[in-house]
Amino acid sequence: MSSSPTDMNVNNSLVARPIPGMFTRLWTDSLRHWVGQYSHPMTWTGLGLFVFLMLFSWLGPVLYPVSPLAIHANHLLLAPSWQFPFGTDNLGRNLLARMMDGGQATLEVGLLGALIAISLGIIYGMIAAMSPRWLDKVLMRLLDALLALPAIVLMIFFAAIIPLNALSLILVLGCLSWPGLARIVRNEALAYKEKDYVLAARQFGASTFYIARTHLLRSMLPILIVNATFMVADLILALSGLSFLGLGIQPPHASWGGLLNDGLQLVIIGPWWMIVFPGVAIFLAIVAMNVLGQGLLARLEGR
Amino acid sequence: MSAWLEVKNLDVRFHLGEGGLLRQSQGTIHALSDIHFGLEQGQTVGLIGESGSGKSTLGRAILHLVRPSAGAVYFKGTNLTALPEKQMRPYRQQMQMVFQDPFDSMNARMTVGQIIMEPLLLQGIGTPGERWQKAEALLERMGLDRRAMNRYPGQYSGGQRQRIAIARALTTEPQLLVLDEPTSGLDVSMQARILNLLRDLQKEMGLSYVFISHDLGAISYLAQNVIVLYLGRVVEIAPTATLISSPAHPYTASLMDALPPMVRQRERPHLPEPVGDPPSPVNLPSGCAFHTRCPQAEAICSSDRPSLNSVGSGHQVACHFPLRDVYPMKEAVHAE
Amino acid sequence: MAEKALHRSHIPLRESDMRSDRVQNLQVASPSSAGAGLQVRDLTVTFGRGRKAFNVIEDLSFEVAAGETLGLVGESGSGKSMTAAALMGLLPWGGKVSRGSVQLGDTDITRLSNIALRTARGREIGMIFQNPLSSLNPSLTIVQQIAEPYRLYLGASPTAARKHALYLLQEVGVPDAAKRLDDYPHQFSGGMRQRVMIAMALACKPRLLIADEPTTALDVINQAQILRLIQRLQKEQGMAVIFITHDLSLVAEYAQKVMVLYAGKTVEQGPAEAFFSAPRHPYSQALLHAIPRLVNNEERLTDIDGIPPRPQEFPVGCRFAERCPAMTPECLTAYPPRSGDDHHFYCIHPVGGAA
Repeated sequence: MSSSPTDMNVNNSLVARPIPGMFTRLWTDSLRHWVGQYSHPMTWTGLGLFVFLMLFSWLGPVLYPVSPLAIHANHLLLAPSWQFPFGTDNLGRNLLARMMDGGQATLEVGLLGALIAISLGIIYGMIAAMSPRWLDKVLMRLLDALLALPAIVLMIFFAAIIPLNALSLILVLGCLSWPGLARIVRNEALAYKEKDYVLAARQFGASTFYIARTHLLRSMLPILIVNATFMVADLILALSGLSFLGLGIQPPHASWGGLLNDGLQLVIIGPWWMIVFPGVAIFLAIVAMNVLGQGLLARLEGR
Repeated sequence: MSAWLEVKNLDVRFHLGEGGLLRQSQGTIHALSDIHFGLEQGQTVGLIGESGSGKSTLGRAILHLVRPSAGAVYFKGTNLTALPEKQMRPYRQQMQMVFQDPFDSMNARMTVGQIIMEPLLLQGIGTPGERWQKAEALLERMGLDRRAMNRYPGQYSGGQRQRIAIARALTTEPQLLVLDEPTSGLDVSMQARILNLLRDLQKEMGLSYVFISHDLGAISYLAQNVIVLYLGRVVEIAPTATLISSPAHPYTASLMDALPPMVRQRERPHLPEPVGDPPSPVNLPSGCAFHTRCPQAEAICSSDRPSLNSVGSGHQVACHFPLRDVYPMKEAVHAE
Repeated sequence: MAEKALHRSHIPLRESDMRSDRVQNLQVASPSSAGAGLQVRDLTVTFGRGRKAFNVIEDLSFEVAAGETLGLVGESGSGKSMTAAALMGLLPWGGKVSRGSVQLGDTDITRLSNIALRTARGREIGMIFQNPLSSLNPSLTIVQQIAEPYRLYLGASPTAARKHALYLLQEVGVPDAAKRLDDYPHQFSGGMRQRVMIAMALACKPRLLIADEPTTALDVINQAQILRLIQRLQKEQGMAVIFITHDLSLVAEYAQKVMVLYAGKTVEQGPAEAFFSAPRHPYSQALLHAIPRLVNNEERLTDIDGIPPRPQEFPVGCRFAERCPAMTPECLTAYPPRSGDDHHFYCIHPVGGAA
């Protein structure tokens, strides 16, 4: 079975026995290395901003346990005050609470939708890259066809026929966004497939699946993460767009796009707080993700 | 009588471009043609040739990484080329390869430890702890710090990375190593380090090497026998000392002419230079592959392909007009 | 060329081993024509600013006369490519020549303005790089690229430039030159591309040619042909040549002067014959003995433990000390003083006895 590890060793006393925690140390060392590699002011800014928004949405309700659904009939359309820090809407609901609730939905859709898109993209792209040439060609032509379809029209089509809650929106948006990533995955995989270390792994007896999982995925991970961040931003924007068409998260639940839409409907009356707060939140979320992506990209390109 | 590693009538062709419904196949590269040689255990054979000579392809064919179009590779009596991949697995442990580019031959996103342990992992040898220990032991033998296990290849220089690659190749305790230009692109002192290391390892562990290079100096440091390749064909095989003192093929002589005097250490033969560039491997010349550039080519050279003939003990040449006594008989310079 | 008596040394070399006997030994131009040559004094290149500043090369001084070849030897990290860049005024962003002067003829090119420097670069200095494929623009034809410097700096008309390009291609030995003028770089083989690069570098008959590892990517036979070509053109045009390489055996064959760099500083420098018959610095010696030769190789090659220090971490004292077999504590306290005149070195424990 195994050959004695001391066969080739000259100095036995220096061979350490496996130390408990050895593999954990490997993990933390790795983490430190990669953080060092990819650290960049933009990365930290973007990440920090997005984490702040996430904390706002999920930790906020814990610290400010006000119901987003409670209606205060004699506090309609009030400007921000101590009692209502973000003001109230046309039904007297506390806008700050609604922003937190809406934040959860919006960020969920962005993050989970991107996750689905990436997973599907990786699977499809890898299969295309590792399959025989003819199959790769077929799969890519199929992908081209999918990419040619106008995403917005499809979004509207699907949104009109499915129940409009966070989960289904996540699924729909995720399933409409994966083709772009699939193409990137397939191209990267093809490039890395020719590297010597893949040949070496094959020499050691590696299966195709092992090569795809261990070598190819690892090599393309940074570029995938960069694309993922941009995708999160895109999905948040897409959700906002759907909200304007009335196809986003349905009342009484909120999303930032929906809140923005509500405010814009009343723009004649001029409740600036109903427009500014959601608008700024969407803006910050998108900027955060873009800046994060750009920071990672800068490091990737060696700047 | 067959040698420990035997290559018989090996032929490798690559097809360029795909044929298909709408496009013609763009031709065939005849990478290797009728290669025939043997290697005994514990010895080193040097493969020398320029780019396009097929030497890398030969290294990969020996390891069954490239499928030959004809011929066979015999290892300890077994015909490797006839084996399906499953049966090839146990043999993969016994023959390993060190690649040319120390940057690309390792995944930069895996730690050095993971890289070295990978063959053991894939072959299912040992427990994780045992694999770790073995990798550490090998790192130390290569002269690298044990802490490298948790570091990444990007933190090391080309020479150090090449040593890591050698460590990786040694994890499964192979008996045969194919080294594909392991020292090209390295600085001179790193090159020397690797060459010394390879020599020591061969003595310690009884390894056999197929050493592929374009550097005759490095080959002569390690190899007992040398094979000269040109455009996929063997043009000369000889024991190293014989090749250096009396090369019989004009191509070999021109290779040695081109060496700087410090390396060559001999008086220079007055052979004219070969003319022009090597032809493309897609359109091989008729007859002798070297005839388009050979300073002493004659009519027969373009029509008849010369076969390997013996001109001395262990010395074979494929030439219609092999050279004799190219170097004057006077003694080497260092005998002072 | 006088016969020289060879003194016994560890490197069994005869003078004929150091010169290829196919090409005549160059008669070195007399120093009185120093006006046409290159003189570098105390060249120092610094990166970064303030406390984070570090030097990649320090206090380099050397001269190359017209018709002479200087072999600049160093391994990766020694600063040899940075020296070439400094001479050309092509330092990467963040680097500058903080000290020293580079005199080409009677102009100090470190003091030139950008525009004047560009002209000087094109007309007076030619450079060939290691990788000819990445140094040639793949979307321009050869004639466009060779003729470019000629048109730009000498104001030639397109027809005249084309004729000149044809002449240059023929000079560098490209077969069928007339037909190949309108080809693209990828249609040439590696050796041919390098010849095209040489043609480009020589378009304006420069006074100085810098060859930065010109043959590392080439096969042995091509290598010899390219180097002999450079040597022939040098003789015909009376250029000074700086030949940058890590391969001492090539320097022995083609250079009249040698300069060995380690970690940004010169460790040994001198006429080639003196250097190769008796190198004094342990690093030079190690480099020389690390080259595998065709015969007499039962002995181990010399190898050196460790790697060179990074520019940010250059130690006080001798930079080679921690890898040197002859190190003593004094080596670490201060940089060794210069010993010798024409053939000089910086070591307090040189090979072959006291400094």
